[in-house]
Amino acid sequence: MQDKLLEKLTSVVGAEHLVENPAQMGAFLTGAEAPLAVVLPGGTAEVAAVITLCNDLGVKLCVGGHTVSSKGLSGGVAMVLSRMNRVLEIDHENLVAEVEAGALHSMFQQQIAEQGLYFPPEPYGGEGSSIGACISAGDLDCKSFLYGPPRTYVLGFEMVLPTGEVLNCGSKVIKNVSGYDLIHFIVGSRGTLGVITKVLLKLLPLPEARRTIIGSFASLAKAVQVAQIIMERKIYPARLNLLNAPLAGQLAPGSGPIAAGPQVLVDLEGFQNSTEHLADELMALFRLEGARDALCLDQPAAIDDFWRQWLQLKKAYHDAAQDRAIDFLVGPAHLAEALNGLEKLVADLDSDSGLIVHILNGNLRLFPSPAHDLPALLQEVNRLALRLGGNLAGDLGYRLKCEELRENEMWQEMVALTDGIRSRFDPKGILAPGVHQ
Amino acid sequence: MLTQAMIKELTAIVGSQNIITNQAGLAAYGYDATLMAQRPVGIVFPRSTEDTSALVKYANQVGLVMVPRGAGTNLSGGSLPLENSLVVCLSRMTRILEIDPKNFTATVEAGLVNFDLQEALEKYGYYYPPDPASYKASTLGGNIAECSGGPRCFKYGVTRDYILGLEVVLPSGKIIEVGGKNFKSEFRYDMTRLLVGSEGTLGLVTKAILRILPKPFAKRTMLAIYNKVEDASRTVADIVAAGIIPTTLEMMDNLLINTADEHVKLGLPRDAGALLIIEVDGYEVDLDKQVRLIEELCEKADVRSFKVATSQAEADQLWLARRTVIGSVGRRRPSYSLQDVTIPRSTFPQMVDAILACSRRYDLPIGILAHAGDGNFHPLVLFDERDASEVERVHKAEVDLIRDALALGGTMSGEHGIGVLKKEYLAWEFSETAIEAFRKIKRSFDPTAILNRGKIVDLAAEG
Repeated sequence: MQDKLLEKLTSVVGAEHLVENPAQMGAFLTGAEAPLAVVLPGGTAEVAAVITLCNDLGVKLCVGGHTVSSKGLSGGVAMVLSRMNRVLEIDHENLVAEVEAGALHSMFQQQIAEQGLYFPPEPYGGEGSSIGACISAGDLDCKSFLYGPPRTYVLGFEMVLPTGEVLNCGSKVIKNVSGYDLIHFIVGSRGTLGVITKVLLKLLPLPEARRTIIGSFASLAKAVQVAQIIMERKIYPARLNLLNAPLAGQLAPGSGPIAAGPQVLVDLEGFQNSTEHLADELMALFRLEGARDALCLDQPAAIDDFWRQWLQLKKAYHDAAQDRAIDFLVGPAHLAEALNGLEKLVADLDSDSGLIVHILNGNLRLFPSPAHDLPALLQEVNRLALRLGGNLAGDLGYRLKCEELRENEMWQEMVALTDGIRSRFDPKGILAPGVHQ
Repeated sequence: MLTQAMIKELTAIVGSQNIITNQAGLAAYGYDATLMAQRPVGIVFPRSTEDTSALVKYANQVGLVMVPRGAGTNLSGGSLPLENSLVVCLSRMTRILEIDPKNFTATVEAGLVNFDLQEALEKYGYYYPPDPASYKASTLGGNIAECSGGPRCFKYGVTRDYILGLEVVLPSGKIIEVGGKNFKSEFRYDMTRLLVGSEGTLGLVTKAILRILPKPFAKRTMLAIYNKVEDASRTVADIVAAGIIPTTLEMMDNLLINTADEHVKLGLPRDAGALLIIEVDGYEVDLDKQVRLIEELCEKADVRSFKVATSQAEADQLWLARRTVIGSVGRRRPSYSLQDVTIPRSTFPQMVDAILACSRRYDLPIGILAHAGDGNFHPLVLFDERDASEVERVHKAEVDLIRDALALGGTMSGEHGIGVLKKEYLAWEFSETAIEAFRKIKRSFDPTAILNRGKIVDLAAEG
């Protein structure tokens, strides 16, 4: 069967776009399992043909922009969409772009920025991640408070269903309530309902002005206090992040590193007058609150370079931590308490472990040092989050919350409901075998 | 018909004050804001999530189809009872459970009226951005079911953008919670987004966690009056191209300027072709510059007059005219049909032309009201319900307008939903693959279609 499948896949994508040599496949894969082949389709029709083949034979299939998770993919097919990377249209009148799923997120942002347009979500996995990955993951980022999460920008999509049909939803309209809202439901579905091949994205005008303000402080408690003063003054920047000292020390804003200590990073985007005023106000505030160092970047190149460092740093920590990162949310008003609680659980919170806080989302990401026993720490952090009216992020958070609150019936109902939706879209269960396990 | 035994059981669940079975009552809950009307078999008003769950479980036992209802203001027949339905009216679950401004959330019961929430938030200096024209009457549960928009959504988005979590009674009677007080609290799929706008066909929303925002520091409300509709639509395109996203860009044509002015008496020029209400908000220091730029763009588009409201009272008067304009057309004809076709902004002038052509084709007055920044039109077709030939022409006009919007790359529904009114046209907008995907969703939640049967899509017997 394997030879026959490979032969048919080759006839669909062409021999030059099929990789079956394990050594060469490695460049496209993350994780330890070995698929039969990596295919790189050149368009929607080829995607549909590959899916139909896999579905007919009951072969597992997993998709990625440039790399694919091999989890559960032994003997299956990995599909890489990097050839489908065109920006098909940039429509200034409607502030819309149509983009193929394999287009690089950061390159797309750069391309539209040159035309005065803006797509706010941060690249999901740093420089190398695709627009398809951004939509498929649908992950919250630190700009989501001001701009909304990625789904806010999805107006439509083309998706090949696991059964081979091509599903189109949405159009160049910013208000659409026709039928069930599949347009936004597929965001965050992590490749389980189909393969997204194209998306129609809503854009914004590029902000008139930007400033980045960075301050380092004596302690995490002081840094979070300063961040909360910023919110109390009703200043809601595009980004308002807090990093613990070890992470902060790896950033070199402007001419180089600033004094050591936990940092508050502020990214202001808006109209010229208010942005300049707010930058002055924040610099004054940082000094007043005893910042060890405070810096304002006003040159676009320096600002871009700094936030590129930020994305790389974030990605490096997530990559290194793998499943050990603990992502939880408590709401912005509870961050001081959350940090206080964390310091009791994680003695090396400002030394060997890593910490990123998205202040406005009330979101903390902890990268515990190897010294910590993860399952035990997870339970403790979960209780801490629940006590503060929050939860761990995503599937894990929902499960642990149900366990802690003894909501067994609700848990089973949600599993049945989500399994039911997935199996109606993917009756043979071929797509994304590693997701929802 | 409900049997005596059923009435007894239902009464035991909600209490005798919370059930209606008399004919006058049935008539009162048998219609919505469309022209359609039917008689339900009964109306029950759950007082709590537990009541709702018990009602749904009982309805399943005896095979009663349920239709959820809030204030009944919807415009697509979504809350209209069809064939022997029991209306489950959530309008008595009106509590505000929590307002947590520092975490930007409010937790409410589904029957709370949008306006009542806004008033409560006002005390904290906060607001909930989605504000459909019906906000003084419509419930948040209804807003969630229809994914309501409103004049502010060009900048701030629609209901779906402000729902963080829901408590839902499933068609089986089981209770689930989706999302939470924070972003990123969904399990596996973004079920909250699926439930918002599902028109009460997937579950009964009993509670919602809403995202609330601090009120903007400052705003400016402008009124631009034009000789021609085309000039107004040029301004809309130019403002967006200039990098300004106003909170509001509302347009009214000559017919509506006249009916609105007869009603509110603002002294609007009756011969004007169109007006735009433009509002920008943000930091005080940024607004004058934006207003100047907008004024320049209006002048470039041959505006007849441009005025910035100098007081809140003046701005409120403009908003009163806008919010009551739909009712004001009653001065011309006794009935109106209201659509919500939405098109890509760049095709705004073509849609205006299509509406004018439609008006001539069927010899019917059509007023043009539009959330212009969104490309969302509310063509108001005026007629007399008692004149059968007019009603027939109105129906044809509605169909033409939907076809026109779809031909321009738009959607038949920007904010009112499909309900029963537009169900028959679904295949014009969606492929069979998409409609089958809708059925997959419906089957996953409600395989027997016991909840709001016959809305959005029909289910064939599951094979």
